[in-house]
Amino acid sequence: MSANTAVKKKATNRSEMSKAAWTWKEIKRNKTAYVMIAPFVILFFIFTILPVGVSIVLSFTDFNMLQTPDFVFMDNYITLFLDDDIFITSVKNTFIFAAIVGPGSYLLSFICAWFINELSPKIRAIVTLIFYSPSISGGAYLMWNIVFSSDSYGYANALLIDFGFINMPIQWFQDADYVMPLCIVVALWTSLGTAFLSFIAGFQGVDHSLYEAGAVDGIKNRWQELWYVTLPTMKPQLMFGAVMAITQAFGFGAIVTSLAGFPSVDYAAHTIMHHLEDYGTTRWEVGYASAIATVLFLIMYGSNALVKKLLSKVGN
Amino acid sequence: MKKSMFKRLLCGFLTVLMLSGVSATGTMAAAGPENNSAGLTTSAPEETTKNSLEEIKAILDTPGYDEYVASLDSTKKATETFTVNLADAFVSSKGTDEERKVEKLSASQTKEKYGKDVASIYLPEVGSATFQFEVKEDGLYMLEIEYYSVLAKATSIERMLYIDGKIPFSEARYLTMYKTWVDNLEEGSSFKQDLTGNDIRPTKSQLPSWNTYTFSDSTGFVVDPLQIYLTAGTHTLSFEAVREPVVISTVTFKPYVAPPTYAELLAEYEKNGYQPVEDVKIRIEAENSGNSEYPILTSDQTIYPLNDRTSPKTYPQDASKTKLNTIGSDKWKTNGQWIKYTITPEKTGLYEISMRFKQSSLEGMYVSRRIYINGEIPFREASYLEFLYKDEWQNKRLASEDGTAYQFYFEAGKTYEIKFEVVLGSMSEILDRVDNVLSLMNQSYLKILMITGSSPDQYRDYNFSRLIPEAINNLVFSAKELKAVSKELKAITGQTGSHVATLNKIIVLLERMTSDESQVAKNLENLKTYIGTLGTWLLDSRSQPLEVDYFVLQTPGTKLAKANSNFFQSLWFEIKAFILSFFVDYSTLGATVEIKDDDKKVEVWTTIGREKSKIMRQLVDSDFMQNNEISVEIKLVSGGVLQSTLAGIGPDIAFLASADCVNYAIRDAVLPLNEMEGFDEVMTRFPKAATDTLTLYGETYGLPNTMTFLMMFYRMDILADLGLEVPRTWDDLKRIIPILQTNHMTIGFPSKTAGTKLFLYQMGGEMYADDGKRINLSSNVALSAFTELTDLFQSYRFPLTYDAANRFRTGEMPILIADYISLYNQLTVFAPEIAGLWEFISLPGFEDENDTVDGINNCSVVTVEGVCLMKGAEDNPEESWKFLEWFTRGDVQSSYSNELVAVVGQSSKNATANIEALKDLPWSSREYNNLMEQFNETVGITEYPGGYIITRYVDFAFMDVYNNGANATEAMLDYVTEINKEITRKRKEFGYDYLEITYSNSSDYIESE
Repeated sequence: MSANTAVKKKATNRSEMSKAAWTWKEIKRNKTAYVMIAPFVILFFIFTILPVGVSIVLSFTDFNMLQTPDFVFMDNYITLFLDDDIFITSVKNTFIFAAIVGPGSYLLSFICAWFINELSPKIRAIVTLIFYSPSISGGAYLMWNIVFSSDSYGYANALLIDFGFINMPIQWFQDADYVMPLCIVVALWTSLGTAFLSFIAGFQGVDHSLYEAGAVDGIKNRWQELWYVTLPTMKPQLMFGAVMAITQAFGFGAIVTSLAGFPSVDYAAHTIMHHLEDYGTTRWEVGYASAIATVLFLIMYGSNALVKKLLSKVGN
Repeated sequence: MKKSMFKRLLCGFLTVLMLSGVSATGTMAAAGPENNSAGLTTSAPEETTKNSLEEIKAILDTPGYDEYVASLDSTKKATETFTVNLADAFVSSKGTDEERKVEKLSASQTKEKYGKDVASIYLPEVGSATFQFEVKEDGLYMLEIEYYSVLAKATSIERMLYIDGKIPFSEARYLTMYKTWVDNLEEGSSFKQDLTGNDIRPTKSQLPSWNTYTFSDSTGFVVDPLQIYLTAGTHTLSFEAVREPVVISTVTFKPYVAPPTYAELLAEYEKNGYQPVEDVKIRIEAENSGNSEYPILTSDQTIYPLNDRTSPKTYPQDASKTKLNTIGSDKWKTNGQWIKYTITPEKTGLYEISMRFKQSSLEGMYVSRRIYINGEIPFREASYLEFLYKDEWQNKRLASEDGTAYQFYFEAGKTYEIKFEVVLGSMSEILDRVDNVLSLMNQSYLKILMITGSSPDQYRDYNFSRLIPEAINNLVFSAKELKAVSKELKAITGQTGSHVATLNKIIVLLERMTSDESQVAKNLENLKTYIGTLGTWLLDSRSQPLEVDYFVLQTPGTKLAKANSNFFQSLWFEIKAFILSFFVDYSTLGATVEIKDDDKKVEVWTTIGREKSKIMRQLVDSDFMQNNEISVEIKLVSGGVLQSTLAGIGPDIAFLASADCVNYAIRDAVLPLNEMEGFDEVMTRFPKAATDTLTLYGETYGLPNTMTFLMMFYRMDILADLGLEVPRTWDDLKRIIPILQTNHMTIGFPSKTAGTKLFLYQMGGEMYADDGKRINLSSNVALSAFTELTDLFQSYRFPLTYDAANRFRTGEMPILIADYISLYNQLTVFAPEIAGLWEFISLPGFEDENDTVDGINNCSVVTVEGVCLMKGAEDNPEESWKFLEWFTRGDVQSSYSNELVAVVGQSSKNATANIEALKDLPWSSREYNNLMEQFNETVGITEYPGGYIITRYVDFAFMDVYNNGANATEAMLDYVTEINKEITRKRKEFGYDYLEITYSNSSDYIESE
């Protein structure tokens, strides 16, 4: 059918073409746009889609980095869910972590951004920098290592000993009771990152005439203004912030490792990321590690979808 | 009027009274810690390795030279000189063994062996030798020793001197006789160059030679030679070996005559009618004489030619290439180090000497050098020539303070040796005082610490002045002394630089602490910090770095060349350098032999750092590539060995930790070595412990490069002060813990897995059972080892986390069990103020009847880094193996380690795993003995598949006990099954036979009594 239309060279009609042909035609028509987007797509494919794909494939093998992998079907997943207690611990930890740090940092970023937005522009610039600095200054969170050093000369220990609360230093990052809360505190401290900046940008971008229009329409207080005017206008930023917060919260591993060591004592702060690292780099069971990565990917994807749903309710 | 007069008198009287009171406490304080010096009981040297309490006490209690002189009844100088030939005077020796014994040599033997026609005696690097001699006349004598530096290790010769069985004063503990070093130059006179024309720093070799050593203070605090008071009659003299063998012919006792002053010398010049020479300019490049007959001689291996790029005027200089053009700098800064030049002038007469130098490190201060001409200090001022600070190069005459250039008399055709030696100069007295203050402050701090602990209660009245009056007095004295020093320093340098400011800060603190007793406890932490600061201050002031480009002997009054280039010259130089930097291939830097890119090429990956890989490069070029026709490429990487091996672009040879080596090997990334040529012979170079860690089921996957292990570090002064013997067993240790703890001190002990391993192997246990199929931690011995460890930590509350070097330095942790090489290296640079107050010895152990050596099992578990053949070497296994075999040879390892110390300094000792090479490393004989004692009692743990899991779970078990007070046995057993499961899983993965261990049957593998 499509051959016929091509031969007759009539004015083409969408209904007369197959979908593939139509797409091809459209591509040819918009080729400049495709050329312009190509660099990104190529890079995105090579560095994001391809690895994810390879990882999913590898998750069905017993690849160990050096020898040719064998196909083992669902073995990795079966072991993961049925015979790996530590994975279950790490899932638990990850969810606790994500549940507190994700929304926590999101709200924190939002509230801080909102308050800062009320300041005069010059002060705002300075305060923004101050709030944003923990996340740009790379390894600055390592100072928490000094504050909560297990040495009796660590700040926290020295203070507590001085005031007579304790006699022996507390092994902060080496005591299963303290590791998780401390890591959460540090995570919140470093989380005022990109999301926070985008919120500030969002607040700046709200058209002031909308507020006037809102006032005319009967908005009574600042809360209503926020909910009905500000937030709906800055939905893209909210979405971006949420995605960042979630990915960060789930992918939180490096900071815990540098604070509490790897693995953290008694797996107290062992997240899925750590489990992944454990199998990927310590044991070189890349197949199994890929299975863990795949699971983590699905969890992140799922929670992103959930958040999208929630955000669509903003302003309604 | 009268009244005020009376008042004045009274005031004056009171002042005198107070001052004398203070100074009395002061002198008392100064004498305080050493007040039993009157009854000098320093015993004759006995066995060198013994660590008895008395011996330590004796060593620490010897008074200083000042006190010695003060305590003498008469300071009459002797008038006559007499010489004792040691070969004739030899009486007895102690502590030497069959291999290393004292040897008398007749004149003809000496002539034949050492080229001098005089009877002499060979003293080995261990034990002591005693000599007898007659003194005809009472009086003070200085000593001159004629010695021959035998070709041996790369350190100076060190001896302790005993007169009549006693160390006369503490300075006699360190007789440092330097060896003579010479650069190995191309055709005797020029530097070797790499392929791109850069100069390569020449290696140095010892030049065994006869020298005269004048008995003097090795720290430089006492400027003049040390003198000993001898009564008429028979005396004995003993030399106890600390480092290195030496041949001594004679010891000359003579009265000390100070050299004439310059004014006196000038008068003599005039009397003799000496005239200034005319039109002479002899320029000598400081880094290289360019004369193969008279090369530059140095006292240390570390004084070598350097490259200066700060000035285009430095000669020789090149904008793109590295030219060695200066010498000295911070390699030539320790008291006593010297550089010797030989010249033969062509004209007779008076010369002046000018020098182009740079002294940019001691701001607001000067550094000092002493000049010897043919072994004599020509005039008094020449023994402390001062070189002032300036940010750039200076070209100046050697001159007095008012600027008159000194003139030196040289005769035509004669050969002169000009020697520049580092001295502390006029700073020596000040530094001596600060040194005393520092040790007083240290002692006071420890005394206070023993009462209050490290975090004192600010609101408690400790009543220090009643409990430890001497400690408080010492602080008073310290404040006073530092004040005086600070004033003098200001007068000398004429400015209040950062140098003086440091002292002033400390004075303020000391005054606050001593004026009000309640401030003592409050400021204890500050005192600790300031002791460290003062230690660093002292170290900085004692170092006398001077960089020299050239010096000139010339007609007095000749115009000097400009020291620095002008702005445009500098600019042009920098521009050239910048442009040329685009055309230089930095990757071939240092290679002297063309690296051929053929299949035989061996690629080596290291993570050891630039300095080390440069040294390796030089060794490879000068030795391996010359003899083997195999190209070697050395690459400095920061990991990624496994990834690149996976990608097929990996190295042929890599340096890997033992665990990595075996782990890569079971994945076929590392090749076994057993089939290689001469494998069995090669393996005998290393202790079994080291090779065990690299071997799995009979296949060895790497040759040990370094091997480290735990040893015990202890503070001699503190243990002696508390009257504690050095513990040899853990029971001994447990006995002294309460004493240390009442004095608010503690012990640094390895915890978690390291501690468990330590006790497990000392109790005769093993980590694995059934050939690595399961962990042995459920055995009785392992459980009791683990319980023992956790008990130690629980009942004595040893700290788990601590900064070892810092706490050891302050004395909070007088006993520390730590990795020997890293802590030793750290302490050498980090804690100079406690140098000589600590040492490391073999670990304490458990009593064990089976141990044949001393009935104590005190083995130490080793950590090994191996050199491995990677998968990439499958194409050229022969060549790669040749490199491996070569690199782990005794002589190569020892040149590598010694070069490292030469280039980087004493703090970079290499923990070589080669037994032969360890002998050649610059350890003192005592350190070496202690080290060997532990070296012979080491075990290595085989790395079985799945071994990585052990550390994790043992740590968990330990923390569970430590944090939550869990039962040690239960805590451990909880994890044993987990460990076994992981081991089984891994063994399955790699196809080894395994035990099916599950939760249900795991109890079968637990030993029951």
